[in-house]
Amino acid sequence: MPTLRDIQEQFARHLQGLPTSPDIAAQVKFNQLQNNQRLQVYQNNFKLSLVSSLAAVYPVIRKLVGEEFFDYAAKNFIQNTPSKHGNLHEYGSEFGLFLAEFEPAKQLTYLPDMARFEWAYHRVFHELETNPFDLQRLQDVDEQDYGYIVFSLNPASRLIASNYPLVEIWQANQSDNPPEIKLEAKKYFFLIGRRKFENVFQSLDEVEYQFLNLIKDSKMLGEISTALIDMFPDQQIDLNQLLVKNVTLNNISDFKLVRTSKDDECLIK
Amino acid sequence: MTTEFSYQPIPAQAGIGLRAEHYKDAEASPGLVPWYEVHPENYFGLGGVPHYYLEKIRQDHAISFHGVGMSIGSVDQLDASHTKRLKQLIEYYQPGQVSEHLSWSSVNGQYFNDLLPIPYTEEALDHVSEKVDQIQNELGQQIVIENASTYLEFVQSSIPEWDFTNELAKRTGCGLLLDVNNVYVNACNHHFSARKYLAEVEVAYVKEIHLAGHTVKSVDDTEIRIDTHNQLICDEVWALYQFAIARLGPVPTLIEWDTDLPEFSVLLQEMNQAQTVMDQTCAHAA
Repeated sequence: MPTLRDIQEQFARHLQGLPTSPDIAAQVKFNQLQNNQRLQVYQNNFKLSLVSSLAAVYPVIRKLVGEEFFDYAAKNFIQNTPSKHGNLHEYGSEFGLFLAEFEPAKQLTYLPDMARFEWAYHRVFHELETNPFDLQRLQDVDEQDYGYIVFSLNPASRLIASNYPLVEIWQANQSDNPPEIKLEAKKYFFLIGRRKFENVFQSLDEVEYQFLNLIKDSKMLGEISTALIDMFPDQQIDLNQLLVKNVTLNNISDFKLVRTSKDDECLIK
Repeated sequence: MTTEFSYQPIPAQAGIGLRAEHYKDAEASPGLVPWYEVHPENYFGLGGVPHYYLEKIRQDHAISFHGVGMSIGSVDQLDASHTKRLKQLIEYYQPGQVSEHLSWSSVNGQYFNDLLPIPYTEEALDHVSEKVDQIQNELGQQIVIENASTYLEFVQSSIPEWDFTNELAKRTGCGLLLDVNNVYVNACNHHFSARKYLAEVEVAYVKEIHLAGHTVKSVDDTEIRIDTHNQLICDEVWALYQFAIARLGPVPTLIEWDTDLPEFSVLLQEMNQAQTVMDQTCAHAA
């Protein structure tokens, strides 16, 4: 007699359309319906539930390619990318990578970036709320220790660089008759965030994008300054202005002092 | 998330399954619904709109957590991160009840995010009992297990479902969530008596009832009922509910509606109807 594990493993193979041994259809009872038709109900439920979960996360992709193509692509994705969580909100992060390699969608080169954008939109919706930035605490930091400050990017923020005007595409596709969008050969940089209970988009220039990326990577302010000068040798970079703007927009939500100049003195001694 | 909530049991009244589409309706009518049930997985994120509304609603109502992702029947180990997050939410929101399903949804680390059937065998009973024990130990509280709807039976099954769930509750001390719609769906799909099922369930174990609508599909001229939670509760399920309440007395009863959501007022009507059935049946019995 097959064990519980045998049954579940073979059932799982059947859900994925793979051959089963021992034949799972021989393990099930039915009334009137063929065994395979009963099993088909589960196969359909499994696919439909994951397709509709992807459709909820990627509504603009769905609109751009049409429902029929979306369902086709989503089913292919499901076949290739198993869900690894009991929580369905975690499913679908790799859809953009999949679309980049999905032959029937290859000429739609903006789709993978649009998918990254929509995944970011989905994720920030559930991120932690932060307290307002504590300016007083920052003012108390000794000026000579500024270089050792590590700022925190607001957790409800994602940074995206793309060759496509993703915000424009996203906004255009919120209406039933999206206007035509002119594509230019240039680089676009975005922050996607949730502030209070609204998702927000900000268009960034490349310096600001790299600045926020370095903050995301928990670099100290001194390291950020050096890195930006290395990356943009021909530009005048106003670090203070970048900080004030991003604290005001709540893109930077907190900071910590990782060491002080006094620690340096101790090391020298 | 900073509010402190104290434990509030689920009242033996009709309540509603809360979905995001109805947050504003629920917020605008405090006290109108005696209690709400939510899927904890929708609150696994750390912040944002879902927690904003759940906190607001929790201030005025008892809530219960009805999980869909633990995969209790699976031969895999429990997902420790899932249990941990659930425990955090329980500690914060202090739900009056925590429930899950008698089903599996994953094997070898792959999830199908569906409530899949288990064979009713001694092996499965031992296995599920162990899992329920483990969950109750880890959460530090009783959980309540719901009978799932199924579209096939396994040839290996040797125990009637009602005996399986009664024995599970007896061994582990868990409660039972009696989904009357699922009993009806299964009775039609597998040709057994729904009343016999309801008559066999041990009264003392039943902590909650679920009512929902389902869909009738036809495959090659054969009728199959699918538990879709997308329409009004049918007359047959209302009659079975009355039959169950006559045995059980007042039990917290939930109106479940998960897809093709109607106006909030439709859920209120269904809730009021359940309350009327409960009141009239219990008054008659007294």
